[in-house]
This record gives sequence, structure tokens and C-alpha cells, in this order.
Amino acid sequence: MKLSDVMSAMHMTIYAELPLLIFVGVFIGVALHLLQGPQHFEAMRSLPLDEKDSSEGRER
Amino acid sequence: MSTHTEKFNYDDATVRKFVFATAVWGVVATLVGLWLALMLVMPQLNFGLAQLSFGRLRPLHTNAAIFAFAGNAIFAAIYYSSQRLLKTRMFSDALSKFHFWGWQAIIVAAALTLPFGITQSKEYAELEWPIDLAIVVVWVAFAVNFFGAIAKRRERHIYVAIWFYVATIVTVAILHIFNNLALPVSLFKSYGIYAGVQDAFMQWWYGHNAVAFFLTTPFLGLMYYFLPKAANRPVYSYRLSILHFWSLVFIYIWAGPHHLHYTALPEWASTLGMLFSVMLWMPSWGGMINGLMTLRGAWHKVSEDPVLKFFVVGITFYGMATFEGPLLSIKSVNALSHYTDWTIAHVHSGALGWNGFMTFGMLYYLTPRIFQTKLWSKKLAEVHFWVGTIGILLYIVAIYAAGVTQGLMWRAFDSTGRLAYPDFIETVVRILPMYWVRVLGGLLFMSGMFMALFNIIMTWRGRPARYEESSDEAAPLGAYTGPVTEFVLPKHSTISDTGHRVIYFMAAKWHRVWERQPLKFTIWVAISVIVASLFEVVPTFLIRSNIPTIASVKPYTPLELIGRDIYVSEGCYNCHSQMIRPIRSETERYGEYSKPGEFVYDHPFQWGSRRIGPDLHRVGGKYPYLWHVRHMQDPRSTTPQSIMPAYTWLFKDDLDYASIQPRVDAMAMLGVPYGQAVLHGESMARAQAKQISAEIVAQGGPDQLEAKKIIALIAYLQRLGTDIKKLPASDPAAKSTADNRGPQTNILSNSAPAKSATEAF
Repeated sequence: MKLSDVMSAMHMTIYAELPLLIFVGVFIGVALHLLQGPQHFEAMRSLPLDEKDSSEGRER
Repeated sequence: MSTHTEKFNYDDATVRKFVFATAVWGVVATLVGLWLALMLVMPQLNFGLAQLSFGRLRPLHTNAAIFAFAGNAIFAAIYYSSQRLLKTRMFSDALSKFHFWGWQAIIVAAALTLPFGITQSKEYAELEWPIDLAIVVVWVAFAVNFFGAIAKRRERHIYVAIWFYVATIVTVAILHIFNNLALPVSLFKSYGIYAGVQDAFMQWWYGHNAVAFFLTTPFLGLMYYFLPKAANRPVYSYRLSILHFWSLVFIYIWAGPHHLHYTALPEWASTLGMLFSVMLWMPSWGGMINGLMTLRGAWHKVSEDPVLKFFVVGITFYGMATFEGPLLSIKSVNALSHYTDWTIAHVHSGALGWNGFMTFGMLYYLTPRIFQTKLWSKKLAEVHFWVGTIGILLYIVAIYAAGVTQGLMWRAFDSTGRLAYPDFIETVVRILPMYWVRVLGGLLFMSGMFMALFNIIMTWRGRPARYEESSDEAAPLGAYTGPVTEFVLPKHSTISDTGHRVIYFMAAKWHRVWERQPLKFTIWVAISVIVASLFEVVPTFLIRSNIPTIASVKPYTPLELIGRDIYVSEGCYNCHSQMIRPIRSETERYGEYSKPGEFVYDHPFQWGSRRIGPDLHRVGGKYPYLWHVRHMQDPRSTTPQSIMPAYTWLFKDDLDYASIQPRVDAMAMLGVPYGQAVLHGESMARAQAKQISAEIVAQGGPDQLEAKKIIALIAYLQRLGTDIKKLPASDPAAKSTADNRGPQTNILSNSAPAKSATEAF
């Protein structure tokens, strides 16, 4: 039996349902994750502003 | 953790080069775009030159806009922001130089080959195999340079902008390789390994994700760095950035099939594409909201700062385009919009509004910093903003109107149930005024491009005699000594290993770990993209019912094959589709709808994505040979208001008969059952050309066309869509019935030589 036989025999809807389930699972996981650790996120969102790059302020 | 700090310099020389290249190629891309817009209303503007014809120049415009203008902008953004976010110089100055010059060489190669008809004809992947290989080499150099910089970084956590760059580098590599797998015939000619439905699927898996991972993710990375810098405000929500990053990476890759609704693509794939496209709206708006909300408390700056103005309008266009994209992916909407200028308006609102304006914002932010002087004229930047905005609005409003008009006219029926506008040209003439408005909009946008280039050059002229090195200071990364967040199974725990893993996952430390482990992060991005791709790719290739075979469909004759290559080379697919959808207005206008099994020998597929002219899938036998001769020589002689250019060079250029055999051999290697044509391709082609030529003369046409390119093109056009009209030879009764069908007299007459040649297979 070839892989194409197996694939052809499967119900078509599985190709839509399975990825949707995977996505929903991952999405819930990520969303739960985001409820945690506010300090870390606070620090990370300011990262571009933390630079001491000497080119900053050289213009003007 | 180390307490001592290291001083280091940034490589801004490479950024300066990419900034210049962005502005210069931006002018080129918009100039070619404007020329194309003009040719749609004044087709004679190609001056009879093959190299200036619409079909050949349009890929040059799209490639210049995407890979030259946006590409160089992306690299400028990545080289500038990555160094600062990672607190290190790029991995290798030599690789930076190689990347810059290699990329420019690729663009020049594209500019030199596309106008000469050297193309694979796959949208945004037109470049032939030697250039594709060069892209791989340059991209690998870029990736090594980028990931090398990550490896020697001094900032432990990688910031959200870097994630988007990682997704870009990994996914573009995957897309480019798998969509461009081809068998070379010569230095400038190859045949893709996929055919028909599978080729179409792969192409739009690539095409859609080129938009996603070349025109979206890197620009979101750009936004996440340059917008906070310009506004001097932190990103609104880091959480939202995580949520929309992973959703975007996972969902985007599925959405490609929405480019193929109602085509011969299997319905399940089309529906899957639609579903994920609609879902894509949310993560896209997550990015838009995060961008606009970053300006909280800084909106007053927008009125004074052209950089922020460009960013605000750019992000707003992103929101509009990513709302419209899912809308267009809904099948019932797509039935109206597909093949019309609506798609062109959608693309340009994204390209000009989102990519263009984000690039301009970045350029105006970077220019004074990298040239270490004041921007030459802030006023000119303000003028650029307004001229550009008005230009985009004029362009898209006119083309939206044109698209909806086209779509409605194509499907309109009169009270007797017949097509209200049976002549396709009626629908073309109706939208010509809107094409003129587009020219005006394009002219304004291009003027803005010139202003940006001029401003950059003038700022550069005011640079110091010697640039100061941009330097920074940071502690080197030692071993991680922060809180341990890796999963460790507690001793004597009554909860199972899996249970602990769930708790660990819920406690959400995994993402924080990935942020300081870029290799793991990159692997997960690659897995997301590959898994999502395989879910669509594998069934498309393996499920047999996707492409039911049709016994009467045979390979093209050698002459038709080279004629098809001329069709590809001239870029006919830029204006004509070869895909009749199973929609009544289409079957009434063009004939029987297209079947998947009709394309099994099409390397590459030629379904097209737009109808500036009518669909050609059933054009075979619709007109006599002489009609095609007259039409190609002067389209207005057969259709007085036609906007198609004359293809006079096809009557002068000799057909390269010697190149036919290698083409046939290559096709045979790809599995096309060519039978004896593998041995006698050239002689078979000459025999068929002689027959067609004689028929043209008999119909009152010119002599001496036998050796010219036009004869092969006509042979191909006359074959199009005719195979399913031929009934199996084993059924003489049915054949007899078919031969006696009145309306098909022309088909049988015209395709007689082709048929006899085909039967040789």
C-alpha cells in the first residue's frame, strides 16, 4: 500500500480539521502564556529605547 | 554575569549602501510601473520593441518593486536595527559586502533578462535558474551574517523585531527553493518540475507567502524597531506581539490557495485556504493595533514629524489591506474580484501604502543618522508625504472602481438570459478613464520617490568629511545566571512528567526561554512553517482524485511546445488567463470550464491571475489561422479598440528549430510521454509549421511565415483547450458525431495538422 492510497482513502475534511485543532491548541497555549510574567514583558517592550548608541542625537 | 563592558562599533557603511539602493530602485520600480500604466491606455508606447512590451516589462516592475525596492529597504532595516538590538556588529563585514553587491547583481541580472523574455513565468518567481541559484548563495550569505550576529550578541533576549527577521530568512529560503525546482534546458531556459494543478498550487503557496514573509514580516520587524524609536515610546504590548507573531507565522502559510478559488484546484484546498485567510485577519490587526497604540501619548508628535506621519499612514494601510485580504479570500467575493483590477488595487494599497510608506518613514529616520547631518529638507519630506498619500488614493480608488466595474460587467446578463456585454472589449473600454486616473496617481507617487532620492542625495552631500564610528557599550554574554525556567521534574513528585510539563507550559516560561535561545526559536519557526505547508502540499500531490485524468489530453506537439515557450517568454499570462471557472458567466463567454486533467503536461501552468484581455483556454480553433496572423500583427485590425500591443517582432524573428529537441527531451525527462517526438522533435515541428503556413496562405495570408516565431505561437494558441473536445479514437461512432458538429468546423479544420502530430504520441 502506497502513501497516496492512504491519503486518498482519508476523509477530505481531516485536512482542514486537524490543522484547525492544532492552531487552536497553540493559540490557547500562547494566550495562557501571555497572562504570566508582566515584569519580563515590561522590560522587553522598551528594549529599542535602551540603546546607548553614539549615533543617537548626532543628527540635527 | 560579566560586570565589565565592551565597546564596539556598528557597521553603518552597509546600511548607507542599502539606503541608497532602496531609493534608486524605488525610482526605477515606480518609473517602470508608470510606463506600464501608460501603455495600458497607449499601447503604441512600446515603440514596436519587444523589450518594452507590457508582458515582458510587467514582471520587471513587480520584481523591482518587491525585491529591489522593498528588498533593499528590508536589508537596510535589518542591518541597522539588528546590530543595535543584539548589541553587536554584524558577524562579518565581508559577508555584508557580498550580500549587498550580490543582491544588486541579482537585480541587474533580472533587469537584463526579463525584458528579453527570459522568464519562468511564475509571478514574483520569474527569474531563470542561474539567477535563482545566485539568490540562494546570496541569501545563505545573508543568513550566516545574521545568525552569526545573533550568536555573538551581547543582549540575552532577542527582541520581537528579530523574531520577524528570523521568520523572514527561514521561510523565504524554503519558499524560494521549493517553488523554483526546475530542470534546465539551456542557460536561459528551464521547465519547472511541477505541472498544471500542482504547479499552480506551489506557485501560489510561494506567491502568497512571498507577500507574507517578504512584504509583511520584515516590515513588521521594521515597525517594531523604528516606530518606538521615532516616537520615543515603548511598544504598546509585548504580549500582543508574541500572540500575533506566532499566529501570523502559523496561519499565513495556509492561505495561498485563496488565489485559486473556482479554478481546477481541488475544492478542499481552496476551502482550507479561505478558512485560514479569514483567520489571518486577527493576527494582522494585532500588529496594526500594536503599532498604532505605540503612539499613545505621542500623537502630538505626528503633526510635526514626517517620519511618524509615514509610519501612521503605512500602518493604517496595513490594517486596510489585511482586512481586505481576508474579505477577498471569501469565495463568493472572490468570484467577483478574481482576475479583475480589484486585486491590483488591493496589492497596490499594500505595496504603496504599507511597504512604501513604512520604507519612507525608515529612510527619513535613518538618513540624518547614517549620514551624520541634518536631513536636507524636512519640508520636502512633508511634501513627499502629501504627494505620496494623494497619489496612492487616486491610484487605488480608480482601480477599485475599475475592478468592480469589470467584475460586474463580466457577469451581467440581460433580460433574455444572455451576456449583457458579450464582447470583452466593451468591458475594457469602459474602464479606460480609470486607467488615466491611475496614471495620474502613479505619477504623483513616483514624484514622491524622486523627492526622497533627492533629499537623501542632498543630505549625503552635507555629510562630514569623515564619518564618526557609531559605537556602543555592553557587557559580553556569559553563562545564564538568571532564574532557571527550564523544565525540571521535581523529585518525589506525585504528578506525572506530563502533568508537570502542562504546569510548566501554563506558567509560560517557555517563550522566555526561547527568546534567549535563538536556535530553538528558529527551529520552532521552521517547524511551524513546514508543518503547515506539508498539510496542504502532501495531499495536493498524493490524493489521486485531485486530478482526474482525461484520456484525450495529449502532450503538445514539438511546434506547439516551443510556441508555448514563446507565449511564456512574451508574458502573455500577464494579461490573459487560461482558466475558465465553473461560473455561468464564464462558461457562456468562454466555453466549457477548465478541468484539472487538462493541465497535466503544462510546465509551467499558465492560468494567469488577471484578465486585461479575455481568457484563452478555449481559444483553440475559435478563429481561423489568418485571424491570429492579423491579430498579432495589429490587434486593432481585428478588435478596433484593443489595448494589446502589436507583436510585429514575432513575424521577423526566426524560430529556433534547433532548440526544439532539447526542449522535448527535457519535457520527456519530466515525465511527459513524448513517444517518437523524443527522436524526431525538430522534423515534426517543421512538418507542422509547413502545414499551418500553407493553410495561412490558402486563407489569403502572408507567405514565408514557416520559419518565424509566429507560426509556433499560432500552433500553440490553436491547440489550447481543444483536447477535451476530441473523443477517444476507439469510439468511431462518437468520432463521427463529433466530426459532424457544425459549430466546430473551424476547430477541426484548424487543428487538423496539430491533431495528426499529436496522434504521433
